[in-house]
Amino acid sequence: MKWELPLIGLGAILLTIAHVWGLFIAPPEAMMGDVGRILYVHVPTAWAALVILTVSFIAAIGALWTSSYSWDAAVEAFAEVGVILTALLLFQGSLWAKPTWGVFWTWDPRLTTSAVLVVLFLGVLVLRRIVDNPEKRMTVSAVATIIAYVDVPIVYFAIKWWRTLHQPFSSPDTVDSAMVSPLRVAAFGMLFLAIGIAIARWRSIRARLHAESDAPELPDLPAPLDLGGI
Amino acid sequence: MEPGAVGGGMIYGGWEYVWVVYGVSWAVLGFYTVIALVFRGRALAAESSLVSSPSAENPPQESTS
Repeated sequence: MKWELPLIGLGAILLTIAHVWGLFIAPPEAMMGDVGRILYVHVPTAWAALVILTVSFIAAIGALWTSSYSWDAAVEAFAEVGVILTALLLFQGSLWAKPTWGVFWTWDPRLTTSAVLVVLFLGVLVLRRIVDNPEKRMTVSAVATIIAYVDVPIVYFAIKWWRTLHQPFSSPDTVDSAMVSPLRVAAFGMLFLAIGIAIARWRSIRARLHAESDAPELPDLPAPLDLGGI
Repeated sequence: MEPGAVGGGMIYGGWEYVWVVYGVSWAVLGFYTVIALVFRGRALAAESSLVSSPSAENPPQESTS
C-alpha cells in the first residue's frame, strides 16, 4: 500500500480548510490583531517539524540496530523534510517577530536553539553526501542524527527553562477556544502533508541506495602514465 | 521595557506580514511536494522496470505455441 498520495491529499485539504478558517473566519488575536493569524501556519509547522525529526531519530536507531537500507533511507528522508520545515519555521517566526517584537531576529533561547537545529540536521544531510561507503555512511549519519536530536527537546522546553520573548506552549489553556479548532485542523493537515512528503522521499532515496548497492564494483584505476617530464 | 524596544509591546503592521508568511509557506511546501512526487515517480518506474526486465534469476519464458 502506498500511503503517500492519500496523506498528501488529505493534508492539503485539511490545511486549506484550516487556513481559510484561520484567515477569514476566526477572530483576530486580542493583543496582536490580524498579524496573530500567522499562528495557524507557524505553530503547525513547528509541531510537524519536531514530530518528523523524532521519526528521523527513531529511524537512526533502527538503522544502527538492523543495518537495513530502508531505515537508512528513512533517516535521510525524514531529516530532509525536518530541515525544510524548521527552515520554514524560522522564516515564519522572523516575519511574525518584526511587527510584534520590533526585530526580525533576536538571540532568544527558542530562536537560537531552533537555528542550531537546522544547522545540525543540515550537517547530517551534508555528511551523507560526503561519505561514499554505504555501510560507513549508514553508521556515521545514524550517530550524527542521534546527536543532533538532543537539540529537539531543548527547542521544545526552551520557553520553560529560560526567560524568553517567545509565547508559551500553544494549547487549549493558552489559546482562545475560537482559535483552537482551526489550529488543530491545521496541525493535522501539516502533519499528514509532511509525513506524505517524507514517505515519497523515502521511496526515492531507498531506490537510490538499492541501485548503489547493486552497482558492480569498479576495477582499480590504472597507474597514471609516466610522460617522462613532458 | 520601552515601547519600540525588542518585545516592547507595540504592534506595527498586520496583513502584509500574514500574506507573505502564508504565500511563501504554501509556495515552498507546494514546490517541495511536486519535487518529491517527481522523484518518487521515477523511483517507482525504475523499480517496475527492474521487476519486469528479464534477468539470470528470472529468464524470459519460452513461447511454446
